[in-house]
Amino acid sequence: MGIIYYDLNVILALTDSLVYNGLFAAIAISLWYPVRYNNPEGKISFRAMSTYLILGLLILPAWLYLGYFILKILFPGNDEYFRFLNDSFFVRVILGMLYFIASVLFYHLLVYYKALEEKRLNETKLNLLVRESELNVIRSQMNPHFLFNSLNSISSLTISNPDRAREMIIKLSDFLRYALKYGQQDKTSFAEELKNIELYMDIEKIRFGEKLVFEKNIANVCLQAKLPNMILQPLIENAIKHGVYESTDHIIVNLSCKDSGSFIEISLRNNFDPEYKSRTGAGVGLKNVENRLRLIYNREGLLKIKKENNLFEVILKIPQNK
Amino acid sequence: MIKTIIVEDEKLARDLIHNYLMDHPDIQVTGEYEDGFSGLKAINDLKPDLVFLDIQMPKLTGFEMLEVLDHKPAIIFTTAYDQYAIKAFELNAVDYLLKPYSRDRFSEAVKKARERLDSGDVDITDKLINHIDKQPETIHRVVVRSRSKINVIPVDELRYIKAEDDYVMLYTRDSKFLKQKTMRYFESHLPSEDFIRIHRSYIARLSEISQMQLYEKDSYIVILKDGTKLPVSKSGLPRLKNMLDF
Repeated sequence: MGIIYYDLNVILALTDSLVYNGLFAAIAISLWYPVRYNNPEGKISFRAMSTYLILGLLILPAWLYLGYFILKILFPGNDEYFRFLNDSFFVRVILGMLYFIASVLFYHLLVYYKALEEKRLNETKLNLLVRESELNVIRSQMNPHFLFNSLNSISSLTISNPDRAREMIIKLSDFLRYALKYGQQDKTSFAEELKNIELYMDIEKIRFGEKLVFEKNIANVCLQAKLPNMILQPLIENAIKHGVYESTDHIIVNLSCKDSGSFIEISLRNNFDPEYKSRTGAGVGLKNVENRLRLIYNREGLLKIKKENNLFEVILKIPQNK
Repeated sequence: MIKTIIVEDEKLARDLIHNYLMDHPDIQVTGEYEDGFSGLKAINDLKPDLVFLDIQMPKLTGFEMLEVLDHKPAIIFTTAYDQYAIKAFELNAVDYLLKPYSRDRFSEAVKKARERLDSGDVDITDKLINHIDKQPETIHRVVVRSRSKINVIPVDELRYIKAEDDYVMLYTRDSKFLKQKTMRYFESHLPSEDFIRIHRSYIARLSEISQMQLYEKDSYIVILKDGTKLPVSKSGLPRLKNMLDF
């Protein structure tokens, strides 16, 4: 093709580049929206590619024509320049395509990076919560009040009823073993959790005698259902703490579970002494459970609290993928 | 004979004390109680010489009981675990038993109690309470004694508090109670999102305040929902404005 020189002044050249590049800058900025909302994860899919192809086919001619139009207004009758404009048409098309691809790619990277960052943050939060609840679980299993009072009961039973003392030691050991085993973030079966809760309740029953009544009403389907490790333990402890520890009357703790299609619904109810003046609202333990559920299942409203008269109820909805 | 009562909510723990006490025939158990409230009544009514007192109990804790005792017996505290209490006991040379405890350790505590009773130096409660009060813990009830009656007032029912020399007057919807505690105690122990110190002599529940008025130049009062007017001090004003988003 050879090199062709055009006799153009600096002002003209600057204006030309300003108009075309400026126009594209404006287009590039508005490109953010299709990229951002087309795929929030920042991955390049076939669908996204075809969207960009169509977008490019629309935008490039518009860009070229608009530039041409503006320059035509700015420099009417400058034939030399318009000859240059016509000759460089092909170069401008290529340039426009490069601009277009570069901006789309840049935005994709940005979106992808942001999504990654968010995901990482979520994961960190989840890890932190799980670790926290692990710690809480271990601490509550080693809950000094629970542990030392149980040991004191055992000490008393060694005199009055050695067989029961031995039984209690074994239960306490099994319970502590479960606590030590716990440490993974996995889910476990409801049946497994239930076994642990029964151990805990048996120990508390030895301490509190008839004051504590544990009832359960578990649909068979629930036993195989998966739920996050140790998600029920804080609720049980809460019921014991505010029910049994603070009352002189019988406290009935009722654990029930039913199948509700895409999730299981677990309810833990306990009555409490109406004279016990507790502060309203959820305690730290319940809040932790709620946070954990939200982060694991990425859904709101999986934990509900009801408090009427002297009945306290916590309802958990655990999603199940079948 | 040493007249003794046991206040402890777990039966097995009470059984153990009974069993250990077989080594000490001079100690005569005249009653045992499962919660703080009945324990408190028994101490005030029966006036025992010695009390085995658990700290964590339904209705009233061992420490809440101490605040409203008429009669001051010798006390052996029993607790499973309570770091703060243990520190308070140690600093005030009060004997306590950590569960589970041995027969020997139990006998030692009884021996000390006997010595205290003989010397007549049993009243440790004031110093102990002062120490326990420094624990930065939110309270949800207040125990008061009015004449012979014991009242447990839920913090949720408190409307405002007024300083009265060494006491404070607690105002609820339809009554008022005198309590021997400082304003500073209530300021630091009441839930800080619900109560505000508006004046040297007043703490008010935020949700009770219906309006704030300019009273004189530079001085404000708040009017509670029932029409009670309380003064606001210079230092109370910014706190109030801050909490009311004013």
